[in-house]
Order: sequence, then structure tokens, then C-alpha cells
Amino acid sequence: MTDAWLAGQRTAFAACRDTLPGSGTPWVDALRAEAFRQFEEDGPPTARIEEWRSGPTAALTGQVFAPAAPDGARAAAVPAPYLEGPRHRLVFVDGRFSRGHSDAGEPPKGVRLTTLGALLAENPQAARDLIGDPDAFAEERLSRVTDRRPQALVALNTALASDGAVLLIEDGVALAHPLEVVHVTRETEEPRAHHLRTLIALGAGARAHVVEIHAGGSAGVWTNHVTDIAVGAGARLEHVRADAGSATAVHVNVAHARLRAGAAYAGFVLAATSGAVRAETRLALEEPGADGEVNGVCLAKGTGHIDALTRLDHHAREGTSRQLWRGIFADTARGAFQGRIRVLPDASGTNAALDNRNLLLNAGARAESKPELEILTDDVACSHASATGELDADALFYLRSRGLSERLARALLMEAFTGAVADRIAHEGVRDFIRRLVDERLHALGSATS
Amino acid sequence: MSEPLLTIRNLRASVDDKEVLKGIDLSVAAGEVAAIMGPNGSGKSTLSNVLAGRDGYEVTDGEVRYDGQDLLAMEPEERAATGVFMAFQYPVEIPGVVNATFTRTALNAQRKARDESAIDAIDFLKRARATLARLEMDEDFLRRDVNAGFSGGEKKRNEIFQMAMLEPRLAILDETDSGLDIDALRIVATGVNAMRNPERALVVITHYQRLLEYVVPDSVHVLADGRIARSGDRELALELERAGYAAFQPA
Repeated sequence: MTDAWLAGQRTAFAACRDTLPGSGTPWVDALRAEAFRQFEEDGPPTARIEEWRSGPTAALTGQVFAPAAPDGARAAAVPAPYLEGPRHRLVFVDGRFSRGHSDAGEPPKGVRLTTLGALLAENPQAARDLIGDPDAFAEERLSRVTDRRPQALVALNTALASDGAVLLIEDGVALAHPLEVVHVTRETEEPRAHHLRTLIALGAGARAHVVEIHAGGSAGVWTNHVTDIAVGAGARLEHVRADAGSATAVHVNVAHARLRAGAAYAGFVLAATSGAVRAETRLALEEPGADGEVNGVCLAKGTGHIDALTRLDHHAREGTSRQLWRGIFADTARGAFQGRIRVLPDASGTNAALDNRNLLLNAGARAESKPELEILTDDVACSHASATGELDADALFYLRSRGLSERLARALLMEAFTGAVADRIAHEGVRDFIRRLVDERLHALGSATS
Repeated sequence: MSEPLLTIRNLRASVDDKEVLKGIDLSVAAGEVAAIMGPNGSGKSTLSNVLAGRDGYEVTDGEVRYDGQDLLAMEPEERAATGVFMAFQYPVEIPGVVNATFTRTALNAQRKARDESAIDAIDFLKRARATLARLEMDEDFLRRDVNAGFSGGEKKRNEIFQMAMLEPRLAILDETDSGLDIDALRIVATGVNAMRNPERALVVITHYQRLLEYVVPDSVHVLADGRIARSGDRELALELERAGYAAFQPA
């Protein structure tokens, strides 16, 4: 299957490379070609690659998902805005900007809110500085021989990215209202891939809240979304990625963030699916005093599969990081959490914590948790905790003995289990939205079982 | 007198195939406070768990009638909705669920089951504050997670608070006095006494007599080796306090 899959990607790249944003700009063409070459060299992810050991590799390579030419003729069901109150909104349908559905509003001076397509058309040089080469975000490797870790899907995304949101904020500027980026994927008969690329760059002292939402999808869809983030010195970004209940066959979502001195990245991931999700978050705390937070809620039912991976690399001293992950798995769904904290030799004074707990609602559900600490210096405080279990029978009985139905008691305990994660979101409107969405997805999970 | 509110007839129950309750007969009328006393291992906690409907207890014979209904056929939440309340010996900690939310959800779930209208948040808060004041509990209780990080005494008071809010017709207090200092015991007893009325029955399960100094029972029953070995009035409790359970222990 792998050969046919690779051949399918080759055919797709050859067919659409001339229609992609930036086509005709020499450096873009060269970048895409080089990225595709890198992808071919790495090959599709397999379980033989340590980071993909628990990944949805079979779902990914089981069908030849290939990008298709834009098909604007078909109507898309675009959901109403998710965030209440003032917001900036960009909508992409099947990986391409939909002006009619978007409402960028009026961002303050010093904020550039645009799309990858527009940026490459208007100012390719600025884009070049932001995107860089496909391997730029690859981690420092202990040894290329023993720790080779291809990022084939990031490379493929670079080669095939059809569009995405771009948010550039100058030094000292705050985007007061959150940015809502919605990716709607339509149902499809033929297997289709959508490669989306978001770019976010905050100058020194800048502030922003960004919410990226995926909606729609069907069993024939693979979405491959990469978000490149740079957070300047003392800047703060809150970055929420949420799945509004899609039926997408495979959703790969990768966020890379580089943090300068005193920068803060606060990330939240909601994965809710009966398909397959791979959610990666890679933070590089490159300079002293950076703060990274990566939290997530994973909810899977049916034969769903969620593979969450975090890589937090503390490169410099006095960095802090926290990770709080909760997973609930129903039916025969499976979940995996691989969380790594790496403290490099120059990162003394690091304080890092990781906490992952999973609930299994049915005997057929499975979850594995793999926290990894790699500490290459002294004078650090790192902690990790993980546990997997069922809903607490004593707590269930206690609630029922007070008059709550079993269903209500289970729902209350599941809300309690995930609530602490959503509560970490700083922006009130975003937090309220995510709480509603999590409750909605928990309800769907509850009705899948018992 | 009309039919008792609670009637237990020849109740036999096993845990892990071992018979613990060996034919209990007991009836409690509305308006009555009945004390069930007994040494460790006599079956007190098994009896309370069977009445509450906890899994893991197999009833092998006998019946329990509550207000004309077969109590043992009901789910735990049905028992609650029909007016049965259990104050647990070891209340469970539920981090992430706020006490106010939990108590109001429970109250409204019961009201819904009885086809009564829901209590809104404002009325609930009024009632909750008045109840807390009576129990000498801080309003902070409402905002804390259910029993999470509570001291032993706080947990017991929280049970009494829930009982007061839910207004059951039959309340079973399982070792509510255990682990309480004298001040907490007095507060708990005040809360229990405030619940006494002609429509309500209270069953106080306890090892020691001291709670009964504050909550004076109408009847006292000694549970020993899975049976009610003796019944009497308040004097029986005082006698047990003096002589201990030696007379009821298996030889």
C-alpha cells in the first residue's frame, strides 16, 4: 500500500504544484520541490518510527488521499461564528480561503491579518522569512543516527499547502479580540487530502488569542494542518485548537512554536472524534525565562483513535512549562499520549510539570500514557504523573444515592474530569466556548455508551 | 398506628458469599428516631449499604418495605427520589464538582423524578445559606468541590447539610458520629434534631452511645451477628454504655 500511497502523492504534487499559492515565485517553487523531495526521502509515517509507534498510520496510508483542484461549485455548510462577542474571523473551505464567509473586522495598526495565498502573492519575501526551510523546526538531535525523526508530513504540508491564516503582529501591539479561524471540510466520495498552513508571528511584547476550529469532514478526508508559531520576547500567545465534532477519517494537527526570552505560549487542544486524530505540539523554549503551557482534552468513541504528542524542549535557563491532559475513551476507541520534556544542558533552573490521566468508559476502550523526561542538566524541577482508570464507582454511587440518574452522574464526573483543563484558558469568551464544546462532545460520548 | 414507614422482614444478605445479615426484623414509624447499635462486625455497615442500594451486596432472603414500596427493587436514585437519604460513614471526595452545583443538581433531579418544578439558582442559594448558618458552616462550603480536602468533621457536616437541603422522609445516618470532636458532634446533633418531625423517620446507626446523648432515640436496637438481638428504649443505650457489647458477642 505504501508504494501506491507514495505514487498517489507524487501524482497529486505534479498535478497541482502550478496552482498552489506562490507558484511561479522561484524560491516558493524551489521550497516546495525541496520539501517534496524531503517527504519522499522520509516516506510516510510507520509504526517503526518511535514517535509514530501509537499513531494512526494504518488510517493514514489505508487510502490514497490526494489534494484535488478547488471545486467552488459545491455549496459548503459553514457554521455560524463560534465565539460570541467581538472577534476576527477567517473561514477556509476545503483548504481555501472563503472571503464570503470571513469577517476579518478591523485589526489594530501593527497587526497584519491575511492568508497564505495573499501573502505569497503580495509579499513573497516576507513570507520567505517566516516559513523557512521545511526542516527548520526539526529538533536538535542527540544524534542523527540514533534519534532520526523524520517529519515527513510537515514536509508534505510545505510542498502542498493550499492556504491558511496568517497573523503577524508588530512589537508591543495587542490584538484585543480573539481570532477565530474555521476550517470547514466538505463531504467527499473520493479520498481527499487538505494541507493547511497557519503562520503566527508575534513581535516583542505582542499579545493575541487565536482559536483554530475544524468542522465538517467525512470518512474520505485527510486534513494535514501545520501551524508555525514564533513568539517574540515577552510576547504572549494563547492558541486553542478544537475539533468541533468532525467525522474526518484522519486529522493530523501539528503546532510548532519557538519562544524567545520571557515569551509565553498557552496552548489548548480539544480532539473529539470517531475517526483518527494525531495532535502534535512542539515547543522550543529557546531563550531564558520562556513559559510554555500545553493542555488538552481527548474524547474518542466508536473505533476512534487519538494520538497526542507533545515535545517541550527547554533550551535556556529559567524556563517553565506545564502540561495537563485528560482523555476519555468509549466503546472500542483508543488513545495514546506521548509527552516529552527535554531539558538541555544550558537550561538550568527549569521548572516543568506534566500530568496525564485517562478514563475508559467501556471494557473495549484502551489508553496508553507515555511521559518522557530527558534531563541533561542539574538544578531543575520536573514532575510527571499519569494514570488510566474507569469512572470512580464510589463517586458514581454517591451521586446516584443523592438522586442523580446514572447518566447524569456519569456526565457530571466526566465534566469534572475535563473541566480543570478548559478552565486554564485565559480568554473568558474562548473559555466559555470551549467549555460548551467540551460539554457537547461529552454528551455525544455519553450517548455512545451505557 | 398506621403502617410503619420502614419495615424490614427477615433480611438476609451476603458479601462475597459470606452471610452477614442473618434475618433482620425491624420497623420504624414516621416521626420515630431509631438507633441501631452494635459491635464491630455485627453487620451495621452491610445493613446501611443494602438499604442504600450499593453494588456488591446480595440479598438472599427477606424484604424491605418503605412507604408501601419494595425498596430493594429500586435503583439508588429512585430510593433518593422517593425520600430515602443515606448519610455515609465515609463520604466520597469528588474533585471538580462544586458542592452547590452538586446539591442543586441532586435536589432538582429528585424534584424532576417527583414531577415537581426545578428550584432556581436564587431560591436554592437562599435556602442553602440559611441551612449553612444553622449548621454553623461557612458559605465557602458551597464553592468548594464536594468533600475534596475536607476534614472528617467537615465531611460529616456536609452530609447533614445535604440531608437538610434534600428533606428526606427517611434518613439513615451511618456512623455519623465517628471521628467527630465534641464541638462537631454538637453541631451535627443540632442539625439532626432540626430534622425531627412527625412525618420523618431517622435511623441512627452507631457504635457508641455518645451521639444519642444529643439525639435522643425513641427506640434502640442491638445488632449482633447479623440479627437484632434486643430492642428497647433509650435505657438500653445507657446500659450498653455501662456494660459494653460483651453479652452480645459470639462466645
